[in-house]
Amino acid sequence: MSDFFDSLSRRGHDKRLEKVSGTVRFDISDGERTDSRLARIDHGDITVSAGDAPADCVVTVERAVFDAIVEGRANAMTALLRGSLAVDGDPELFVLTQRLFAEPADPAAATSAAGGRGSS
Amino acid sequence: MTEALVRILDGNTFVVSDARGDIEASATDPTGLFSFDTRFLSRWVLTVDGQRLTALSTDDLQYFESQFFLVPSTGTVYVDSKLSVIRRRQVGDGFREDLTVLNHDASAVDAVIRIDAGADFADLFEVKDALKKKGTYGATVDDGRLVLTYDRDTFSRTTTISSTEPPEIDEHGLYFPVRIAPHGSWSTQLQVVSAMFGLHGRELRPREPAGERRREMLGDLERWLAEAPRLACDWDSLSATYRRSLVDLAALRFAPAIAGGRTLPAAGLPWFMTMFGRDSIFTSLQTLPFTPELAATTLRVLGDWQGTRVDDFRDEDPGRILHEMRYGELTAFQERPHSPYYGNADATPLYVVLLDEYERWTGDAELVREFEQEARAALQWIDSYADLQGNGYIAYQRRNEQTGLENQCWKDSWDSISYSDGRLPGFPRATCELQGYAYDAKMRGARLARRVWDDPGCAEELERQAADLKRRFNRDFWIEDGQYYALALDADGAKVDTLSSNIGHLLWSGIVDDDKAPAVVGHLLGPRLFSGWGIRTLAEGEARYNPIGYHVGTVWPFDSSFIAWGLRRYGYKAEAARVAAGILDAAEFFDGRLPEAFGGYERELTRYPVQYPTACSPQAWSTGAPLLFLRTMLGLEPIGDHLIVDPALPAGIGRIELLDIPGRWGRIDAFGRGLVDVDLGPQLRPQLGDRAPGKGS
Repeated sequence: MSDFFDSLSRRGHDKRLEKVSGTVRFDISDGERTDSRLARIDHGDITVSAGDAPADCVVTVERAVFDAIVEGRANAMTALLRGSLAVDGDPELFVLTQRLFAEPADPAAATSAAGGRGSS
Repeated sequence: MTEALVRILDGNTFVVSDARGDIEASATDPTGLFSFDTRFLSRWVLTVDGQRLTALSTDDLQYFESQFFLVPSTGTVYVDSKLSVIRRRQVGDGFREDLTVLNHDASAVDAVIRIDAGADFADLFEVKDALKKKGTYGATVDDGRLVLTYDRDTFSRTTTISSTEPPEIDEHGLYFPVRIAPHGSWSTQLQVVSAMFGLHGRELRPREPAGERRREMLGDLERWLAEAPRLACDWDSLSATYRRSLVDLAALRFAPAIAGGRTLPAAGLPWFMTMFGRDSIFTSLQTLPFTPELAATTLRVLGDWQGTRVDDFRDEDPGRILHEMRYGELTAFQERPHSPYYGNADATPLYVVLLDEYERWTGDAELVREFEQEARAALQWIDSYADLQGNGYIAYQRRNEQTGLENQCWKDSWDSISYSDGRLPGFPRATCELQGYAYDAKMRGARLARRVWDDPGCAEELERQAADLKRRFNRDFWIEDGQYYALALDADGAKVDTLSSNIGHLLWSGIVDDDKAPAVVGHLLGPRLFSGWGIRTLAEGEARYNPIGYHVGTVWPFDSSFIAWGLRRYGYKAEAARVAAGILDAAEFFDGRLPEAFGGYERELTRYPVQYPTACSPQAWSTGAPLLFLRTMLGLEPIGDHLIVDPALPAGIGRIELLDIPGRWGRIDAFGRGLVDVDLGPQLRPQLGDRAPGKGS
């Protein structure tokens, strides 16, 4: 989990979030303990801090589910529908938050992959 | 049961009952109370002293409200009942039902009024495909309410039924032993509330404050109608169709959880009361001159949900615009990929087309700037992930082999893409209209890059790509012998040589070389494709042609409406008017509510349009079709800060006026006059499509 937030910090700026300014807090529970991280997005600039400061959107989720989501093994929307993740506050921000879970794509890689598929 | 079904709806909550107001759903039957793709009531049956009721009349008061007048069944043809019953039902968060029992006798009556209630909590996909449930059911009495529950792991859905008059309750329903005074009445208000519970028992959806809801909905509908342009014309059925379309659009508006109360068009009742990329975009394009806010929400929500990763289960790629979102159990447990599912090849270029068209009408450059990254990612998708064959064309091939869609174009049934002799091509498939959309997206993206994003280099590059695509397309898809464009290129890059309505979309996109347009128009209005009502999806004479085949011979009003727009784009005004007249004539037979599709039979043969058996109705892009036909008949085109009006009315129509058209100019009126003398009786107007095409003013 901390790997994810570390890499988010390192990402620094994400073009796909340039229209977003807001805060998303992740309350990640592990039995009794809850670990809170605040992601602040300012026109695509991302900073992460620990703590349970108020946020525009709060995502509450168990650690195992959260780990699965950030590793791409699970999906935030189905977790929400299934009742294993909760969202409070701005739901549009929750949708955009899913962009945090996917590294920015490399279009050049896609082009060569697509070309490769076609020419094989 | 062939009895008429009564439907009321509000966004993605809807109730389908019989004419008595009763619901007795079987596993595969789409009756019940549905919300967020789940059936929250599958049984709702009213009895008086154990007797079922008979409907005297049923009134659809509003799209969200209906009323049933009933008497206890007597078993004879005579109705001489001492009691009568009025049910008035309004859909909201679930529904509310005002139940009134009237005693017409001079003496008091004792009776037991009973409502049987049950819920199978079926996912709409299960209703469609008759699948089995995996969770457990419960029914409990809690504080004078009946609570029906369904649980599977942490997934929890409930239906709560309460009454203002205290009921007796058992697990199969509510009942009221009542005494009604001579010439008196008894009434109660039943409330059915559907709920989806998430983590720690929290409601998944924000709940609307109860109380003033009906007034709000009525006020909202009146506002909606008042804000749309007014139509004045000497074509009575067009006026009726126009009003019906506006009301149905209001009903089909759907507020996705993320849109802050703003709405976009859901696709259609009963199966598609959800967000669809393609349908929402096409409907938004049709309705831009009338209700531009639908387009704004569509752009915002589809942009927010744009794909970000490569996910084979969802057929998701970075930049791809979603196909379909679902909220039911099968989606929640990933037994279906609709969270959302991205498997379509057209919504992504069409997203850029809509963004440009929206700006041209509204002047809202702010939104175009806000979604610049999404539009660029969409354009990027066309050249990268969509180019499956590495030949510079958009093609599709599902990666989810179990539950993904085989055909990812608007004709998405399994047999829609075939060679002339009936064989089905392999994958990937590059259907022709996709290349048109890509061309248009590049041209329009270039305009936005130059005007709004301040990136002339990008604009030039996009225009260069578009010109190259057009040149290649006219070489690679053109069938010289037949003088039309191939339906698709197959996996080997060879032509799928079928004549289809898809060539009409090419006119709309502008990818057709000018010297090829006359032949294309000739086919579209020729005997193989034009039925007299509209343009067949597949031409008569093709091996798979079937006048009641879903995408292989029926006429789709939405399809014809975009083809008419394409005809106008290439200067074929009279032909566009002729197509408009055919479909709008057909609308008259459907009381102004066009179904998604109707039979492709020759008009001369049937004299009325034959409805396709399981067509969805109302359906958003059929509802939007009359609006787009109005635009094409009046020749409305935004140029700079002006709205150009260049009318060409069908033969037999003297006058069409559209007043207070909203846009970047404020409000503008458009007047169309026909050339012919018009002498219309009040009822017996000759059907327009029977006449020769005429020219407008």
